[in-house]
Amino acid sequence: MINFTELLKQKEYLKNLHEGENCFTFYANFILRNKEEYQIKIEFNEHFPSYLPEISLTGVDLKNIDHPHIDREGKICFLDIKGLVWSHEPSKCIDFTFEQIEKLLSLDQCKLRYEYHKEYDFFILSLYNRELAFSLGDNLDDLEEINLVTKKSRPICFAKNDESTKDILSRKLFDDNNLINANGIFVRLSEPYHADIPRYNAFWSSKDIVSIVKTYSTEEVKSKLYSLPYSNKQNYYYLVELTLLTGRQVLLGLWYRRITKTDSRTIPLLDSDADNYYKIIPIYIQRMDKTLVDRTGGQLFNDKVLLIGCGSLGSNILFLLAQAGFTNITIIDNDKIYPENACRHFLGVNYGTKGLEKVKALKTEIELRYPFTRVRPYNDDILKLISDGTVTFEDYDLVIVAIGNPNIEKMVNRTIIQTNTPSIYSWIEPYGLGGHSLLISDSNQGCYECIFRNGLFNEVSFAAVSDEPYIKNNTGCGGSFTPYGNIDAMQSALVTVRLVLSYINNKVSGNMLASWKGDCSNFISEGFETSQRYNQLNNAISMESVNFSRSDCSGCSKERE
Amino acid sequence: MAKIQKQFEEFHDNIKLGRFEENATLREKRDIIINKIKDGIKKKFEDEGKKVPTLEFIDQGSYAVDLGINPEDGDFDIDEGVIFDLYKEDYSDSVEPKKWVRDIMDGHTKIPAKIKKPCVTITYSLDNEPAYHVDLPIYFKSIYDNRLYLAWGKEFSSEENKKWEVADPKGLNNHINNAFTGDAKKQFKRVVRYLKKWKDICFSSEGNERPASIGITIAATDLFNYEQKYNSIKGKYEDDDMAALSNLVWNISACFTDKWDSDRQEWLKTIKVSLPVEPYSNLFEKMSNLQMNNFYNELNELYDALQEAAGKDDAHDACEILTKYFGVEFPVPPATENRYQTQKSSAPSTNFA
Repeated sequence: MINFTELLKQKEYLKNLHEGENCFTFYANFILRNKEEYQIKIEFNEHFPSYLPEISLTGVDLKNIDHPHIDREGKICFLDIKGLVWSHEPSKCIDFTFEQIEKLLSLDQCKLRYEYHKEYDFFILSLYNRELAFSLGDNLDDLEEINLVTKKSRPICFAKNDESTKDILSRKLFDDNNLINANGIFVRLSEPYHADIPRYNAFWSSKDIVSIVKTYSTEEVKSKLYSLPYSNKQNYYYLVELTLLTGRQVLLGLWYRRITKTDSRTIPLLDSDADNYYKIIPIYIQRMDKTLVDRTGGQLFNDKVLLIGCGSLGSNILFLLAQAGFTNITIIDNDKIYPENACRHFLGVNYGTKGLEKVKALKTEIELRYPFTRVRPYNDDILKLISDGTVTFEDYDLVIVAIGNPNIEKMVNRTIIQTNTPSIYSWIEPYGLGGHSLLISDSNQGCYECIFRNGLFNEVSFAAVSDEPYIKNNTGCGGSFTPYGNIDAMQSALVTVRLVLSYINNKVSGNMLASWKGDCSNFISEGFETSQRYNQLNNAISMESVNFSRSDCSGCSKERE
Repeated sequence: MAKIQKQFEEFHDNIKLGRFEENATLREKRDIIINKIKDGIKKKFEDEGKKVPTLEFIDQGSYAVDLGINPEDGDFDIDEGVIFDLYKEDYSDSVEPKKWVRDIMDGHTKIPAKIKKPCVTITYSLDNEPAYHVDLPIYFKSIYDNRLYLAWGKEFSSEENKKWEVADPKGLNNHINNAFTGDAKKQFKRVVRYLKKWKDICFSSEGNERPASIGITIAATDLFNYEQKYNSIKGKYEDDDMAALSNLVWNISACFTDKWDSDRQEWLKTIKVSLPVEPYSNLFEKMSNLQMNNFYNELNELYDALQEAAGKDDAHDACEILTKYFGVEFPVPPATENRYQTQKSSAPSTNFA
C-alpha cells in the first residue's frame, strides 16, 4: 500500500496538508508556480496510479465558479485520458496530475469562453430539461423547412426535406410504429457565435434567442425569417446551426411547447415574449449526417464504384468501402446466401437461413448501417449484364472485380480495358497463402490478363504451377469451394480497400500490385508447392508498381495497337 | 495568457521605496536639515537685526506622492521645498536665498552643499560614495499675488539666467495624489513604479537620455486606466496590472507626434506633456528630438514585449520576457519541468494547451 501522506508531503507545492475522512482523502493548499493558491481535496483511488487522483476545489464558493473544466461540486476535470500514458512511479504520477491541474487553473479568462465552446456537447447535455434527437441531411439552405419525426410531439429526428434523406428515413432507422411526421425550420446563424454556451439550469430565454438570431444571422436569413407565416400551433421545432469559436458548426434543436392557451399568432423564434406561452426545450442533436464520418477521421467519397462479386471477399470489400465513406456503390452477383456459404461471408449465418439474394441482403444491411451509402444491386451474371448493355463501365469511376473465377474475370477485363475506367482485381490464395489486389489504371502497362503466362499460369500467384485444383468439395459438384478462412477474406478486402483509397486519393497511379503473404504450412501439408514469388517475398504486405504488359496478351494488345 | 499578477505585485514590493513615514533614517535626515535651516535663517536674520521670516517646508517629488523606487545607483533622491514668507520683489537676485541655505548647510556633509539651477543640493555620502542627496528648491512669495516663485539660477549665472519662476509644488502634489482613489490609486502607483524601473533599466543615465520621472508620472495621471479581470474560479474581479501597464504604454506612445528635425534631416517622434500646474512647461523639454524618438522606440519595444508576454500560456515564459525590461527584481516562477518531474509521454497531454 502506498503511503499517500508521505508521498504528498514531498511535494513543496502542497501546503497545509492534512488527512481527510479516510486514508484515501487529503486536503491541502495547492501553490501554483505563479504563487496563486487554491484549497483542494485530493482523493486517491485504490488502484492509483492506474487511476489518477481526483482533485476538487474547496474553500471557494462553488456557485460562483464559472469554469468549463470545474463542475458544480468543485471537481476538476483536468485530463482527457484518452490516448495518454503516464508514469506509474507514484511521485511522478502526482507531479503529472498537478502539472495538469496547474495548466487548467492557469487558464486565462479570455480562453475560458473558447474552452466552453470546445466543450459544447458536454454543456448542452448538462442542460437540465434538454431532450435528445437525431438529425439527418446535409447541404441545408441557410433557412429552410425541414421534416421531423416525432413521438407524442417529442422530436425524434430532424430531417432534410429531400429524396435522399427520405430514402434514409425509409430504412426504418427508428424501430417504432407510433412515429408522427411534423415540420420544423432550419436556421443557419452564419456569423461566428462568440457568446456563452448555455449550461446547467441556465438555458436561453425567448428574449435571448431573439437576440442571438438577430445578431448572428445574415440579413437575408433575417428577412426570410420575418416573412414566415404567423401561426398558433401547439408545438414549434427549430434546428439552429451555430458556428462556434472553435470553428466547428453545431446544431441545436429548440422545441417550443405551448403551456398557456393564447389566441395570438406568432413566430416563436422571433418572439421575445414567447416564453409566456411556450416552454422552450433545448434539444441536443446527435448528428447522423456526413459530419459523422469526419468525426472518425474519414471522409465521404462520391466516386461511383462498381463491385463485381459479392462472395466472402466482395462482401467484406463492400463493408469496408461503405465504412471508408464511399456513398455510391453498385454491386453485382447472381448467388444467394445459404448457411454453407454464409460463415465467412460478411452477412453471417443469420442471413444464410433466409436464402436471400446476396446483393439485396447486402443492400439492406449496408444501407441500414451507413445511412449515407446508397447501394444499387444487380442480381445477375456480369457477362450477361455486359452483353445486354445493362452495365457500361464508362459509367463508373472505379470497378472492383472480386468474382473468384479468373475465366470470367478475364472476359470482364477485356471489356473494361476498352474504356478509361480503372479497375482493381482482387483474389485470395488457398489455405491462407495470401491474397492480391491488382490495380489497372494504365493499359500501356498491361492488363489483368497479362499476368497469365501462356494464358494459364498466374505470374503473381503464391502457389506454384499445379495440375490439381485447390478446391475442396464436401457436397458434390455444386458445393466445391476454395479452402481459405474468413480472416483471409477480410485481410484481402483490407488490402484491396487500402489500394482503392490510395488510388482515389492520388497516392498511387499506373498499375499497382498489392499482396499480403500468409503462412504456407497448411498449403504444403496438402502436398502443394509455393511459387518462386512467394519464396522470394520478404514482406508480409507488399505494394509495388508493376508492368506485366505482353505483346501476345489477348486482353490488351489490341488496345495498345 | 499567463496569470502573473502576483509576480507584478512582488516586483512592486521589490522596487518600491516607501514614504518618509516608512523610512526612519531618511525622515531623521530630513528633519535635521529642516531644523538646521530654520535655526540658520533665524540666526542670520537676527544677526542682521531683521524680522525673522517664517519658513514652511513641503515634501516634494516621489516621496511626497508615494511613487519612489529604489534607485539603480543607490543614490536616493529627496526633494524638500523651502517656502520663505518673503517677497521676491524685495530680492532681485534669485540666487541670494540659495546662498543663505548653502552657507547654512556648509560643513554639514563631507561633500559641500551645491547650488544647482532649481535647488540647493545636500549630498550625504557613505564610504566616500554619495548615499543620497536632498534637493532643496527655494520658494518666495509675491506682493502681487498668492503664487509661489522658485529661485532659479546658479551662483555665477549671468543675470538673465537668474530668475524667479512661478511654481505650484502643492498643486502638483495634489494633482498627483488626487488623480485616483482606492484600488485604482494603488494600481496607478504600481504601474508608475514599473515604468520608472523600466526607465532605469532601459535608458542610459547619461545626459537626458532618460525621460523625466515627473513626465511619466504626469502622463500617467492623464492616461492611466484601472484594469481588472474576472477570476471565474474565485468569482470576483482582481487587479490586472499587465493590462493596465500595456494600456498606459500604448496611450503614452500615442501622444507622440512627428516633428521634422532640420539638423538630422528626418522626421522624429516627439512628445509634449505639460506640467499640470504653473508654469505648465513641457516635462520632457530637456530631451532632444532624437532622445524623444528613442523614448518612443523604447516604449514600443516595451509594448511589444508586454504583448508577447501576455500571449504566453506559461507564467515562467511570460516573466522571463519581462525581466529584460524590468530587471532581475521581476520574479520568474520556476519552469514547469523544474517543478514537475514527469516523464515525456508518447501521447502528450495537450487537451487544455
